[in-house]
Amino acid sequence: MSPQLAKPSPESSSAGLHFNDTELTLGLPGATKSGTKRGFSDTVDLNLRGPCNTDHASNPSENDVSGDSKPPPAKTQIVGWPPVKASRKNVAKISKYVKVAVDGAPYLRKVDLEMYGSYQQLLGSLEDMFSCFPIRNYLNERKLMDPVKGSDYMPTYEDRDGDWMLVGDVPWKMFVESCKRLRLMKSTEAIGLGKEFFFSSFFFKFFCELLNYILLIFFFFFLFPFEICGAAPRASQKCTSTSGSKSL
Amino acid sequence: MNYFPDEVLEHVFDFLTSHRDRNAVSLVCKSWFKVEKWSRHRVFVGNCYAISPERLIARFPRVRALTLKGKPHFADFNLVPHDWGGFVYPWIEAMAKSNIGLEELRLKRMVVSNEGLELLARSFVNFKSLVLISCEGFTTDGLAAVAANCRFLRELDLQENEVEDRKGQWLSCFPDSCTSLVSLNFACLKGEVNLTALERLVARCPNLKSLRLNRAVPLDALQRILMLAPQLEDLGTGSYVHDPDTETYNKLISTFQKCRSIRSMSGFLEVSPLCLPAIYPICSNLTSLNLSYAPGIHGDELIKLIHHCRKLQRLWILDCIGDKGLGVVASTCKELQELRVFPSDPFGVGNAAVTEKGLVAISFGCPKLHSLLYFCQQVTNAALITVAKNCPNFTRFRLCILDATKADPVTMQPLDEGFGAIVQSCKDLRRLSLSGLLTDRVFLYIGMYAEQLEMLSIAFAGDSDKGMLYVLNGCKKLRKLEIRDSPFGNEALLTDVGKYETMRSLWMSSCEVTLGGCKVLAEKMPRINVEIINEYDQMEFGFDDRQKVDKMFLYRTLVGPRKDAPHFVWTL
Repeated sequence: MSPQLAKPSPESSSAGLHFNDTELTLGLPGATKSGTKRGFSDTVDLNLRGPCNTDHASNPSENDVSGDSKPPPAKTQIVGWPPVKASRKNVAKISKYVKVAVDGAPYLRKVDLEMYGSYQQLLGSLEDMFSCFPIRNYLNERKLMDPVKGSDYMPTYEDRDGDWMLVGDVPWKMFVESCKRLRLMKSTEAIGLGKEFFFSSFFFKFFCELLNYILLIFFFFFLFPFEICGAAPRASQKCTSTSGSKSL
Repeated sequence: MNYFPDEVLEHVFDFLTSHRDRNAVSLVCKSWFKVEKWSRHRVFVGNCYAISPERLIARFPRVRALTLKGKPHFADFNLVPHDWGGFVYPWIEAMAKSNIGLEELRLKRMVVSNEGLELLARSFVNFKSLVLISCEGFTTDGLAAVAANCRFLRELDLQENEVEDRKGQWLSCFPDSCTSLVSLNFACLKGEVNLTALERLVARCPNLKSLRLNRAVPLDALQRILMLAPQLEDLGTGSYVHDPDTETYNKLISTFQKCRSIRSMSGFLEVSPLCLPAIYPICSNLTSLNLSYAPGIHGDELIKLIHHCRKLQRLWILDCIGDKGLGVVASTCKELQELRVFPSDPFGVGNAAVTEKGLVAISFGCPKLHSLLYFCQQVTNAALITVAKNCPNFTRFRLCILDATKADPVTMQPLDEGFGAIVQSCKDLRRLSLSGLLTDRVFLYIGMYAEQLEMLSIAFAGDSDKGMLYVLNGCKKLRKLEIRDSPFGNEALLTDVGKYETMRSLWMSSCEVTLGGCKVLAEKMPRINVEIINEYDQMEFGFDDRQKVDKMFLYRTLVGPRKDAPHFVWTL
């Protein structure tokens, strides 16, 4: 039942190896504990884009890790085994397709919310979908940005009551239940959507803390790969102080 | 006994409800045969090709309730081609022609056409009950005909059928005069429902006891329906999705509190787990709970729910409940008699499935358990031996290990001893399904101990012909045997051909049986139909008798080869 990410990206494998230890302790509210590297790696996914990744990917030992994060190969299916009625086979596979609109985009897309286990996975996938817009994803601000036009997009959704809400207020599972459709709204238009509440929400704060923590560790490791052991205490110290100030 | 007049005998016979008892009675003497013939109202036909409709009508001219079964059981798992047969139309036609006063029809795995349903609706004035299980071939138009014309309809029960939904207004076809419904189940329909018509129908049927809705019926409609029918005993919810912070949900909570007679619940085809607390108040009354179509309820929510269900006798559930959840079932549901655990991800790599731990816990906690269907990741011999010791009352024991040939994960031994313990200690076992790594030894045990066994399913098991022979020689009451992917060949098939006249049917697919072997059998036993399903034209008829038969189905019959067989079914 754990959601599977469609495509493990090279970034995820490289990040996964280096942060083996931190990975297990971090989990977002509402995010499923998939037990793979995926949940963590996706949080840093978008910030890792760049030439630096290739260095990590060339490390042969990382193949093992990427193997872990991929779903194991499906068994060859035998007709009629396990003996489950056809009507039951569809039961397990629940899907929830919703439309996604982007302000200014000429077309809409559909995504299956059940395929994702967290907001990060969803937003990452949205970014790929609307790649004709050179969107950069500032996850800690939870908006998609178009640097060319200088306009950024807030992911919003229509809930069961027909109200337009900012994505991210409620735990992921609750969001999947109530989301009727998605719209990437221009920030200028999204101002009215209770931004104050959004930024003050517990979930959001927690998320900011978490992301800063991860980012800092990553950068630290990346800059001083040879000093890992010695630098660790300093890293955590710096991390907590910086993240504290940023979230204010 | 012949001092009694026929009327008295008939009255006495009325107390015999079991078909077997009545069959025995009819064999006593000619006069009893005659009395029984004219007084039999309920008839069960386990294979629609074993007898012709005309012969049935001649034998029981006053039949009012008929149960018919069509395709072999393995059709449920896609092993029987779609257009194999099993048509009900000739039966309806024959009964309509003979002016049979049919009132109840119950069909399983049959092809039902709209024409058939229309003919049924027009021909039998007092028709009361239609139950279709795993049937196909009809649409909501056929249902509309039944709804419109059967004025005294009490029961319309559609279970796991493949129905083409024409988005028709079939529910609005029930006339205003229809107030007799006791049971209505359309959970398997996929299309939209006219909610107004449904609510009006529920409102005017004061005796409605069982109602199972489909996915298209939302939670607010459910709430209104429950207001109209607080007398319901069996409820299948459709979509159980709503925001818990709304007026509707609050109304639902208070409505459920008034539904004091609900004893059985199912459905939750879609579900908001946050809305589940609304049913907690009625959980303490439930004796039956089916959440096997509710993948949206996860382990922890299931456990919370189960804590409230202390009286459950029957529980159908998905394996996302986990071993831990089954432990809760074991400590909560002391009255449990029937448990089915279905796989939530049958083809996945199994991250959620249950193991022998859950089963052992259940066997300790639920001593009344007598029927089990359990899909699991693995099982050990030690666990099966414990289960056999704790629950000797099993009549149905079906264990499916998702990896079909998995050995005992602890000892790496076959599971022969475990299943052997089950058949040895469960004296009343009537149905058994095997899986996991098994040798001929398990069949030795089955033949030796399973004296009451009526149906046996075998897959990927055994080493040689001996295995099947142990079963055929040992299980005197065996009626249905189905085997797939096992190394049983002609010797096993032909050693005791007389046995097949005592059985309803034998299915063998992907075994070692050859065309020649089947021909010999067909020649020797004229009252057995030996059918070969040559689905992909792998075989050429009469070309080489040594070629292996992919799928063989044989059954005893009084009517000879069937006339409606498709081209790929050869009756030898």
